[in-house]
Amino acid sequence: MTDTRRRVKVYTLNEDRQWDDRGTGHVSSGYVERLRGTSLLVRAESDGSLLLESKINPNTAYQKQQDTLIVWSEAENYDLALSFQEKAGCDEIWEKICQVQGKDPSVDITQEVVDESEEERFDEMSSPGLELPPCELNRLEDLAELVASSLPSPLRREKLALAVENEGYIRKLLELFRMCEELENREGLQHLYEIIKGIFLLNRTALFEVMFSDECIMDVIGCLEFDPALPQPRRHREFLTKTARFKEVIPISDPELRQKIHQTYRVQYIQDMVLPTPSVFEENMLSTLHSFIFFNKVEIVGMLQDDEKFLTDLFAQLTDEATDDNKRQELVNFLKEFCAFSQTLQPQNRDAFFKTLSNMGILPALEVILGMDDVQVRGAATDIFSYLVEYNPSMVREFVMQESQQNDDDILLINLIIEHMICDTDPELGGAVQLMGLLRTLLDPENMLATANKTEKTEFLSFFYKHCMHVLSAPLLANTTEEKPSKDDFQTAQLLALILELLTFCVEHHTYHIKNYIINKDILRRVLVLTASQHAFLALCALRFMRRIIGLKDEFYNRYIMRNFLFEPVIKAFRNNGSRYNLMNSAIIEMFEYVRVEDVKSLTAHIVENYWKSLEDVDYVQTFKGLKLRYEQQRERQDNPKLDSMRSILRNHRFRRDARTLEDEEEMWFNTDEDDLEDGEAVVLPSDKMKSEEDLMEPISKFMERKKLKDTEDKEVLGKSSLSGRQNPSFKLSFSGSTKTSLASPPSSASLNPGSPGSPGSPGSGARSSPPTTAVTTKGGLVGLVDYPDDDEEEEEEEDGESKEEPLPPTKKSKLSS
Amino acid sequence: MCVTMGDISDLDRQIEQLRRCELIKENEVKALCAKAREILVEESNVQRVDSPVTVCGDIHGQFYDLKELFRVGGDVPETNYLFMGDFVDRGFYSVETFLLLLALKVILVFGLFFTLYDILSSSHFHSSFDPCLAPQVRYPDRITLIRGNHESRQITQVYGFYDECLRKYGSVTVWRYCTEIFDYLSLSAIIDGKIFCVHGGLSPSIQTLDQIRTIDRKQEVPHDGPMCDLLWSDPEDTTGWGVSPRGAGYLFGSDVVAQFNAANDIHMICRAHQLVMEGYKWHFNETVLTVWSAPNYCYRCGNVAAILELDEHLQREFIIFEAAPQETRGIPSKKPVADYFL
Repeated sequence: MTDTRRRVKVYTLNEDRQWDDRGTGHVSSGYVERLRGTSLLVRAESDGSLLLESKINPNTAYQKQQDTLIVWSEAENYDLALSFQEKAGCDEIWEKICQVQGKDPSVDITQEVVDESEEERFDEMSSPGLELPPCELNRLEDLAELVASSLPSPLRREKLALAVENEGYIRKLLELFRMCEELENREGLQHLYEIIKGIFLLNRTALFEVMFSDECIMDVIGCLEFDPALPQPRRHREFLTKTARFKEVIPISDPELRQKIHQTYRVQYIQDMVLPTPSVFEENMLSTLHSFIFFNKVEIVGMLQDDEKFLTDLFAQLTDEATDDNKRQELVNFLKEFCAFSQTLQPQNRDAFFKTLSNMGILPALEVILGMDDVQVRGAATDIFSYLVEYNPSMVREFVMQESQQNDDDILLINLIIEHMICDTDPELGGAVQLMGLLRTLLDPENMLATANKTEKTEFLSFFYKHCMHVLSAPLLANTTEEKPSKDDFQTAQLLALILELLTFCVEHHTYHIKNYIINKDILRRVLVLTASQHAFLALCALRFMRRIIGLKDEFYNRYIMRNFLFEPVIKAFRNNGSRYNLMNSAIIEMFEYVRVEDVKSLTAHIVENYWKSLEDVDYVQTFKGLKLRYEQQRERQDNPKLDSMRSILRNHRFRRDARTLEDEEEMWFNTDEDDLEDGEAVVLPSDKMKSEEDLMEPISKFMERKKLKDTEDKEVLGKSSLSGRQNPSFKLSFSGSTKTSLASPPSSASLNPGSPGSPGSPGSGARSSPPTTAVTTKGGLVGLVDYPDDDEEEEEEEDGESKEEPLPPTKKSKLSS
Repeated sequence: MCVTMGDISDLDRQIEQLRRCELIKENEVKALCAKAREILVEESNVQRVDSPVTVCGDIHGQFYDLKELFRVGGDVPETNYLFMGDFVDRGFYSVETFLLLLALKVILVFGLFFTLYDILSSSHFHSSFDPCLAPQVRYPDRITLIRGNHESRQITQVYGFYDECLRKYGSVTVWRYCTEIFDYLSLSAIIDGKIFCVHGGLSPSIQTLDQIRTIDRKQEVPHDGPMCDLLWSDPEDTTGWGVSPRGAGYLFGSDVVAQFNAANDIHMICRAHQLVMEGYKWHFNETVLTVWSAPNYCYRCGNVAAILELDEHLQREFIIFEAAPQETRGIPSKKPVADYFL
């Protein structure tokens, strides 16, 4: 069946009173044995499966709306709709339904809807249909009262609706309206306001179709200008006729489409502007109005999308350099509104919509537009971009990565976005805030495609850290070369706060790449320069960045912090803040409190050993005393040989676990690597030093073997050194570090460093993830060794994080909130 | 940020607009929030407040009822106010309500700063400059706002504030600015060292007020832990701690309160968070008080509202008030878009 006449979309109304698209197919009617009656059947056009099989019951109320829509309820709270491509098809099926029910096909509804309570039914069933007073000026008051008194009861509403539908009553009312307005009959106009508002609440499509017709809609809006509660009538018609302007950027040939666009704008205006915000009681009473707008929008988007010439013209003019600025601005605004319209669509329609745009080349087009000088054009382009990012970040990422294969870094779309964020001239940085949000969405591993090989995350993050991170952090690095921020004006501070927010997000979500970046570029030290900013909000962002790092309980980070004495600026900020009990004070105390409560031993020792003098007199909280106590207990345990014989043996050999010893070892590694890691790429040995993989693998495999011999010893050391459980993230990196150290120093050093306990197969790698040593070789040398296993781990960690941060469902959480 | 006389007159105009329940521009909201942030960042987790002060409970976007509150309680700055959170959600005017309170707070701090600055820098007073005035310049505290459980991104997306911002401004930008400011709001207050004020109640993780100091409050309200409890807990006629039916926070009993009050040398705990039909309600032999300031809550509960006036000797007086007639009228929603393409 390829007949377009019978082509329909099936909709069902969901719990939120929104229409869900159930698919497109062809409708037919016929006798179905199983249902014992004539039924409506819809078969999907994609695969011929049955989308709908519904018996036409003799008592079901079917409604025909807007010529191409048939709506009915199958059960309580189960509403269905068929939306026809063509009016003719709709009429055919309508006739069929009417025939089964023995009705005249000229009606718009086949049954009276009765959904009132039993009691009401008993009271009112016997009463005859509702009789309206004659439509005359002096009866308006009576009519207004009748409407008001009918609204509370569903049955009375129904009767009123039927009465109003008949005899062109609405048109007569609107005649009266024109008369009242001419006579300046204020009282009459206010009655008309009440009557028309009441008719809206009857929630009937048949009435809306009359009211929203070209001849009637302006008079209906006119009636709604005279709200008796307002001292002055509101001038809606004036706005609609004088201020509102329809801009036809690309000529629309179809008059029906054009009429639909006008109608939708006006009806939307009625919903948003004219009718008072629905109170709790009225919310559901305007559902038909919402549906009316919804179906109109679906149709408009569909009609435009099918018009290939229209979209081709649009994109051609958008990107054509010859297009003049005003025209381009309008074209961009059109596209933005088109995207905004699509927001109301159902997922399937939206998929199709964005696919069409993507095929038309919307991303390259946006890149061109974003490069233009006009601020407004760029603003609208940013909005369009955010629709795309929010709808399908993977599509955007894919484009961005493809682009990098052809272009230099400085002309990549994503870097253009970063630059716009950095260069926002708005003193309040409104645009920058928006762009930051988009970048965060693009960088969020949670929305990256989780295919079997996890390529999107690996690829995109590698890409971003290689090609974009330096652009993002440039303002931070430029401003933190000295002890104090070189620029500390409000706008710079706001921008740096945004960048820090993104970097903090990276710390929380990209464990591996960001860790390399931070340590190789010494980012944390730079960030902490901002604790000296005169803008407390920025200083707090810097602190928070460090706090998130500490929160990872990653010894690799911790050693970086200790080696560089990065608590120094924190302590300084704490002292400078003086006795003030403010956010700064609490935020800093909380950082130490975290170290204490979580018992991060390395940091506890480091803090007490280096900064106790600055902290000992703080007695308004127990945090620092507690920290000292922890430290002393720790020392006590270490000093007691019976508690830790292994420890004491090691200490006798000068191998005790000590920040300084570690420092030397890692310093060596960092000194050699630092320059080669400028790009923030994965920790790999610099190629010029890597003569051949074999050369490298050789000492490593030797090292591995030595490691195995030492495993027994390690086990004991590790068992007693009470490291925190979440060691893993650091360990592979440290492995590469200690590996290299081991090339030059006694191999036993690896075992002295509980933070880098050696090979992935060693017991120290923990229970959670211990990729076998084979990973080292199969993944192709050191790159694989360092990169992939950790990436996997990152995955796990994120899952952990997720379960921890799983928000309470708001409904549960706030059921009783008041 | 530097505040100029121009900013003050802008603020004056914005307050006049907001008092008429008219929206201010999006960039004005941003600027207002930036100024507010500067003040709030200096506040403590337990903000010190001096009597006399009038303590108010939930407002929930009932703008005209807030105006009624100011009418019966006295206008700012003549009356010193402490609002215990839940400014937004449920009512029709969360945006106007919250922004008015914020703007009043900002202008009272910066405006007073300017007045004093003028006085101090004029030649007449120059010789008698009193350095003791300086702290007062910094913290006039004529209006204190602490955080309620509705001052949260998650909750406002469900209970109306998010939708309202979207409807009134056509984008969620203003919602973002406001929710960012929520993160800076103080968690509690203490009046003359004797009356502890908090939106919800106590937490099993907090025995002393000093422990509240170790919370880094600048964050979304967490789902558990001390900060969550302060904003979510309720008193319950029992002893010890109980599971809260709200799914967050705890129920706390009379012995918990007795212990807390003794440990911190305070007389009573004043909180909001629960609708009480009479506007206020005592618990546990007048050691805990619930104050509720949204009359006819949600436009249908039929309750009266209350505020608590404390004089300089902490003598209590309750003022009861009813809903303002304008409140239920509904609102013109958003600014119409003049140009349309579709």
